[in-house]
Amino acid sequence: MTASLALAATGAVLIAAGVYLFMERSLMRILAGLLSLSNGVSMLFLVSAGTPGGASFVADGSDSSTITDPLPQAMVLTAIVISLATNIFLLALSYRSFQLDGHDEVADDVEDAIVRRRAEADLTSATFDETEAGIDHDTDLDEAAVEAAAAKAAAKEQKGSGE
Amino acid sequence: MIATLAASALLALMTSALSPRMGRWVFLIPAIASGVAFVYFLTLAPAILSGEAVEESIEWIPSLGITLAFRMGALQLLLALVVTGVGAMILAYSVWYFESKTLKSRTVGLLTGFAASMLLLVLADDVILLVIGWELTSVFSYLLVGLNHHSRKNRSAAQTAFIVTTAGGLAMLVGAVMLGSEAGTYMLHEILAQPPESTITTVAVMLLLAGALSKSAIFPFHFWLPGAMAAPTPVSAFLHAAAMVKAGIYLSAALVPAFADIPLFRPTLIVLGVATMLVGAYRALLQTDIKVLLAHGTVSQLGLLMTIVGIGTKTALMGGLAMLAAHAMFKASLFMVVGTIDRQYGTRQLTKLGTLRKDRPLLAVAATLAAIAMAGLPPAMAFAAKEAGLEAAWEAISLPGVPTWLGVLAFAGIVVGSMGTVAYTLRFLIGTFFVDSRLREALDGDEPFIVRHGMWPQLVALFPMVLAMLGIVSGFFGKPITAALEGATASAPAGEASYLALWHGFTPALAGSAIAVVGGFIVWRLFGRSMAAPVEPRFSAAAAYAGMMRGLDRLAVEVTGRTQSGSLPVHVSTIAVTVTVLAGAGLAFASLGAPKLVVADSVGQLVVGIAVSVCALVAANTRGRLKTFLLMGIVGYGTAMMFLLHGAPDLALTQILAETVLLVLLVLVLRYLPKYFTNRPLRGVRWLRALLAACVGAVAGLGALFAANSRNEASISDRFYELAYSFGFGRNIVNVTLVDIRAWDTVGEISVLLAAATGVASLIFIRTRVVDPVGTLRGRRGRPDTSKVGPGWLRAGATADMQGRAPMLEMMTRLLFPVMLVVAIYLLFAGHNDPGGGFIAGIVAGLALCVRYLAAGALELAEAAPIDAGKLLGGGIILAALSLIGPVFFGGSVGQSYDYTIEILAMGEIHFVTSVFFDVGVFLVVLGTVLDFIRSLGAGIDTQWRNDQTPRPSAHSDRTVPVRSRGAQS
Repeated sequence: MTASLALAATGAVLIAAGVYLFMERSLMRILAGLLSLSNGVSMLFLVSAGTPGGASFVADGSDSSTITDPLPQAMVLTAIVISLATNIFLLALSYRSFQLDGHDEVADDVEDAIVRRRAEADLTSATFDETEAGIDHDTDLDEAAVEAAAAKAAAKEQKGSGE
Repeated sequence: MIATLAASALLALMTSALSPRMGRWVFLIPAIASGVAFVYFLTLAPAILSGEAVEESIEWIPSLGITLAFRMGALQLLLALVVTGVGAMILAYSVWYFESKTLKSRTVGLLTGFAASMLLLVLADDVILLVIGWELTSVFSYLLVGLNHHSRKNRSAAQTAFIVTTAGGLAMLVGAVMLGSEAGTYMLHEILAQPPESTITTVAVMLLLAGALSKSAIFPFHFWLPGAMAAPTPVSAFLHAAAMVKAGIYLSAALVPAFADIPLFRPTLIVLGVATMLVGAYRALLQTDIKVLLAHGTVSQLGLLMTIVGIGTKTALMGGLAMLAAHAMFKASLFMVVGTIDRQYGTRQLTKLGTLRKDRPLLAVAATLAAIAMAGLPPAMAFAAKEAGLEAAWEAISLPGVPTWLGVLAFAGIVVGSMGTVAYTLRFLIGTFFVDSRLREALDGDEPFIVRHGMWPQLVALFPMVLAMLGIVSGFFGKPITAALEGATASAPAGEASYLALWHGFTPALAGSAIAVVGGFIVWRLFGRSMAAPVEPRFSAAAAYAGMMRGLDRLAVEVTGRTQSGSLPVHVSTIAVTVTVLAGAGLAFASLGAPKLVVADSVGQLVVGIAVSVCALVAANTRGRLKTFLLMGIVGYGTAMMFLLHGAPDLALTQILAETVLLVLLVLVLRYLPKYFTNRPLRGVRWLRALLAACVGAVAGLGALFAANSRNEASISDRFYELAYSFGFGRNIVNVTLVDIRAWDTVGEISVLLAAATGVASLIFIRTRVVDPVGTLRGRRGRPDTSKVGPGWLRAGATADMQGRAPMLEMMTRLLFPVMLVVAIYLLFAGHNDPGGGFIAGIVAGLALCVRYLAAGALELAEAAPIDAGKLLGGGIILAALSLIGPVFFGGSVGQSYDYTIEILAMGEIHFVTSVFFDVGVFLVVLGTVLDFIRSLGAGIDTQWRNDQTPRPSAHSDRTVPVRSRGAQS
């Protein structure tokens, strides 16, 4: 099987351009990167199809050796439609971002910053709860009181909704 | 057996639905069912006791050797009777305990589900199935302990219990798989009949025991059980006293006959059992809450059971199993007493109770009977069982193969443990019922007695009474019980089989019992009457567990803090670096030799390749938004050209169509966005990024070249040529691959389309995908009213104002639309033999709708496609799925294709293949997707524009004015 250098090189350039754009913060640029990237990957699929042959149809005068490998084609065909859908989704995401925030740049995750600060201060996570982690179960188990309170609240709610 | 299990599972699902209507009385259903099951198991008893075993099985996963196999021997019968018998009693008691007003409807379902999974655990013969039952009980326990999830303490207790028992369960699963593969079968009875002997077996058995120890709350896992008492009392009585915690004992007892002689088996169980017994008894003696007192007592008793079973002789097993049954009866009974007191007096504190014998004589009698059993006094069955345990321990001292110290430890441990048991039993019983009232007043003045619960105030004592009486009366039937248990103990190693009896003569065991009773009384007099609040010990397993959880959380924080920067570019770069390094290293070390290469397959390929590459590189460095995407459009069409040059007309067609749809939609959106991307100052980082991107591209390209050249097997697609026609009945191999050979892939892919279309629609419309073409976003469904407009090329065109109209476009559209639809239909049906197919036809039809929208706007689109895109998407998926499954109903296999030749009068023959239904499904999904896209990004945004909700680019800026701040201005 002979591979085409031109095809692989084109694929490589498209992927490089795609990855470069992918490392941006603007969703629209990421979308452009995704477009380039998916086309590049399609090229590489063509490389794996080998030497081009006739269109892959069962016909007189052709056999499995004279046609282009149909398997990569089937994969690329669905990939094209899926990338279309994904790209449009990204487009809608970007539009929405402009609509709400006035730009479409993905800001740094606030939660991650919080975790980083906690790690520097040698703290546990914000949701960690000493009681929940199992300290101190069996000192007070006044289940009846809790249930009574719940019942009271339920009754109150019922009354409230009745009015 | 299988029927019983299925019925209980079904009941678990049904009862919760009935709960709101029946209130507390709903518990009668599972109670009666459990009673029926108890009787059914009793009818099986004679056969089982004569040595037979009841077996039933259904194939499940034959390739892994896993079967739904059930087998009931004497041991399983005992457990099944305990679960259903005690279960029936406790479920009936639940009718009294719960109040209809506060009863959560899931409670009854969870309790019934627990009973079902407990039965599954006990009856399963396949060890994998046993583990499944095991974990199911853990899950139900979690849900039942956390029944009141508003309380943080309950959540915490449920979580602790779950984590501890599941950790053990996972160890057990590993052990089960190891044991199964070592023995060559997963059938428990076969493994036990011919136990494998190897180091792996030893490890496997120890892992199984780890599961057993954690489930039965044996030291160092004992701390979860007292916490789990946060559950309602019937739950505690059923799960955490009678049934679930016995699972570990059951498993150990089942393993004894085959594996007791493994060197670590006896020491592990006995040492940990004795430790548990002492820790539990000591802690119980300090508690003032009687439920927690009983919980620690249960821990202690489980230690006793584990010790006795761990001795691993015939007598030991006899004593252990008898004790298991006895404990289930008296402990469930005592828990019911506690639940009754808790409900009636609203307290469980010993400091407030003490004189209940006057108020509740029946309850006092029931409690006393149960307490006699708990303390191990004659004539209770527990006494006979404990005697057998002591006897076994005494035997073990002189048993060859068992270290002497172990026997001594077991004997001494049981005696001292029983001493503690007697002491805390006295503390419980006297402290609750029989404190002298004068003394009571001296202890504290207030009388808290408020009766909260009115139903059957005295008669409720009958529930615990029945079980307590059973525990006492059965003590007189030592001989028949011995005979009944023989089936379970006969195969255990070593020792003479003893028998259960209240009187064996003057034996060391009797001396041990006597010491325990006298000693226990003294201990109670000395230490058991202090009413100081219990102090949490500084060094406890619970504290160690909490420390471990804290450490885990800290570790997570540190790891997350160091690895998660929260910046998208950094994350993407990390992936890119990883790809470069790993894949690059793989390429560098691959010994493939020089690949077979040509510069280009054709001149066209070279030219297109260069053009496309230049466009992509320019696009990556352009600030103009529209320019970038137009360049990317060229890249897309160039790719289509490449496909065509490569002999792939279907691909080229699809690519061109998809690219067109994308461009149209991009332009529709770009109208409202700023002209330029955010400017980025040229910094060193950008060059670094460019370098990284180049590396990734190079690695990908080289990888593809090497991969193409390292193929040394014939491609599977070589057979597609022949298969496409003989099995798929089509000449277009690519299309047949999509709809037949790899149809499952296609199903996955159209599902992605559906998800993306829904996502886009929800991003624009937020709530509903039905757009109202005339005005507000609060949808008016259906076709627009165009009846009043005059004639024109397009009906909706006349509704637009004159300036916005494009008569030429309208006319062309009028002519083009039907043609495009016909072409789409042609492509759809021709696709099987010629270029075309569902994907292509779907996009063509979608483009036809697109043209209608472009010519005359949203109204025209609604006129052209008066259907919800969601219906097209859903209908398409359903059709595709049906056409795949359909052949099964006609005796074929999933996805099979059939061909028919239909003769139509005067038109010749039509060759018809059933996979066309699948392709129609694909067509509908693709059409629905494109329609959804135009509706959202075209008509939807138009509507937003009318409502001034679109982003408005600010002058000389790369930002837009957000909708929210605009609202604030106006």
